[in-house]
Amino acid sequence: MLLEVRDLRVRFHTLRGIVRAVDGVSFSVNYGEVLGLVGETGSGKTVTGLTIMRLLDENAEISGGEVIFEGKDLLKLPMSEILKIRGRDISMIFQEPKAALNPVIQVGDQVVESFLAHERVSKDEARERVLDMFRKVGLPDPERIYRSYPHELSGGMAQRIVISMALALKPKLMIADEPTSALDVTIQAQIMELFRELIREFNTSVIYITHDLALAAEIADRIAVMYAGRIVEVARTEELFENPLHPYTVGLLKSIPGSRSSGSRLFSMEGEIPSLLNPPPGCLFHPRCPSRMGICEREVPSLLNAGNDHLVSCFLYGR
Amino acid sequence: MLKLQDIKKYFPVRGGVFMRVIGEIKAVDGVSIDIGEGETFGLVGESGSGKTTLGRVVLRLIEPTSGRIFFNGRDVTELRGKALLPLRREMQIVFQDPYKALHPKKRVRDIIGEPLIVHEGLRGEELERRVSEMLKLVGMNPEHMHRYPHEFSGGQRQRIVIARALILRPKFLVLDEPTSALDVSVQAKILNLLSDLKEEFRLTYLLITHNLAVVRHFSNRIGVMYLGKLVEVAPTEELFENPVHPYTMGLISSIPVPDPKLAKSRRKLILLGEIPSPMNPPRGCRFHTRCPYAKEICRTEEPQMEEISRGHYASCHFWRELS
Repeated sequence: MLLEVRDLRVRFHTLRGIVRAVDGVSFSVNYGEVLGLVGETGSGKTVTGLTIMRLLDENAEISGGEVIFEGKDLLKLPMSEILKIRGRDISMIFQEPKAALNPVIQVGDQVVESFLAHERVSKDEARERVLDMFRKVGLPDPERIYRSYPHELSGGMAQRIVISMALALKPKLMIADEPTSALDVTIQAQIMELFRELIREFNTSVIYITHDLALAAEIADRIAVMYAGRIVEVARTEELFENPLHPYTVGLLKSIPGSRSSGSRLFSMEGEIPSLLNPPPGCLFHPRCPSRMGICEREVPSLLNAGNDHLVSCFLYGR
Repeated sequence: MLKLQDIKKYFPVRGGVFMRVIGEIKAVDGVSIDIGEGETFGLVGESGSGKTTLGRVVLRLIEPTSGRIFFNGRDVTELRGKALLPLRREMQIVFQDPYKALHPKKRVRDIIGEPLIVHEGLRGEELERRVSEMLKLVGMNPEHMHRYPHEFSGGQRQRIVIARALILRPKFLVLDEPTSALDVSVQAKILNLLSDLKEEFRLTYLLITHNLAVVRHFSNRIGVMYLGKLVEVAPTEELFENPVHPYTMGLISSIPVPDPKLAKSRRKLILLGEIPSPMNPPRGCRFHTRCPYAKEICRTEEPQMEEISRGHYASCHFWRELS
């Protein structure tokens, strides 16, 4: 097991009260595995990723849980240790690649810096390795790209640079938070293909965070579905799509337009995502759930194995 | 109902010390479309395809460089000032981002009611009655008219935007990425609402989106744009089942499918490279720089729109070989 998150809880202190953004989240990532972390706005998927990287804002408080990475609890390590792990062992990429790049430094030098920060190599050697990396991520004319500034690059190229930076030190874990959401669909297809190749080549484990179940289906070995700060279901990708158990997952899958339904109505779930300032008691999905029972309003279901390593937190499948 | 004839829209690009015009962005470069009454026409394309500019030209929010716009048989290209007002009643737009489209300091009543004040001079009770009726139609509580936009979720805000667009009972609606800022479970509700309202008000839609799954679900016919030009037009199922333009094929094969078995087994056509600059589009076929099938003729000669089968048009030199 490369990473194990146990009962993680993160709260935000806001002017309007305390927001329970992550409320008892547990999951694990094996060596070489791609875990898709899927959820809609406010599900807590991004906060979970940022917590693992210890990148939370000051108004956030980790109120419980453990993040065990290769035997060490990242939440207990001093910042000096975290800085050594970040980039070298765990790296993260975001939706907006240009936000991750310094606008006034040539992109090549930025990637070189990340090499020099963690490895004892000469500048020339680092430069060679960066150019090599640029070729690997499919950047045309690497020498020219090396000397360009972020504003001269398209979104797709900037994301390739960021990917090369994230993978330069061959990290054990990469957290990718909606890395293709800002890109056009044909560019998204290119980047996904690149991802698949690189993950295989480097044998990197990945937490792939996305709102798009279809995208997760294309890359993830296993998928965890989040809702309002909790994980509601975890299963191998094919199992999840063939046999979704949690009523939220079922609803989400049915809401996706496409296939041959032109003209017909889309399935739509009742209600909206609850406010995390004042969440409902019991199962957070119960106000919207077509199968709710009395117990759902009173008790929080735990994430249990329903067989086939398929975990679900729903009273329909036992207590 | 709507006929676009060879619409072009070029934006000047200025530069240098004197800010002289140094070039043009050919955002829309010769597009012709007919949209029938009651139809939903989907316009798909990626960033830089010109689809949004075309939507703005249709509504006369920006002036075309050349070409003609006919609405209900009447040439409306030259209408100016007050003469435009009746057209504004007939055609409305729903923008992508419901967070930006609503004035944060106005109450819902004033936002939805504003067109009634401008066009019909309504005030007071009559205004509130019409607003309340419209709120019900878009699935909201009429009481909400006294609230401010920030009190609502993204989906509810989009309902408010739709209510404002419909308050004058237009016949034609441009939907510009109406669900792109919304979560998928909210998107489903808004798309269902839009189809109900279409029935209710006998509307005609021009749906502009980059989302192929949405356009497939929602449109009767689809036009695919690339770098300022239409490359293929066909009835929805025909386009998805029998695309002939290599760009359309690449676009369709780029859509992630919510089916892991199919995702692994299907053959993907991944387009290389990126969309070139509309300031300096490639000669010949504009798609040739990314086309896996491009031959010499594609670099020199621009393909014309041809009818491939009934109602199915494409502009590709090699559509016979590719279909």
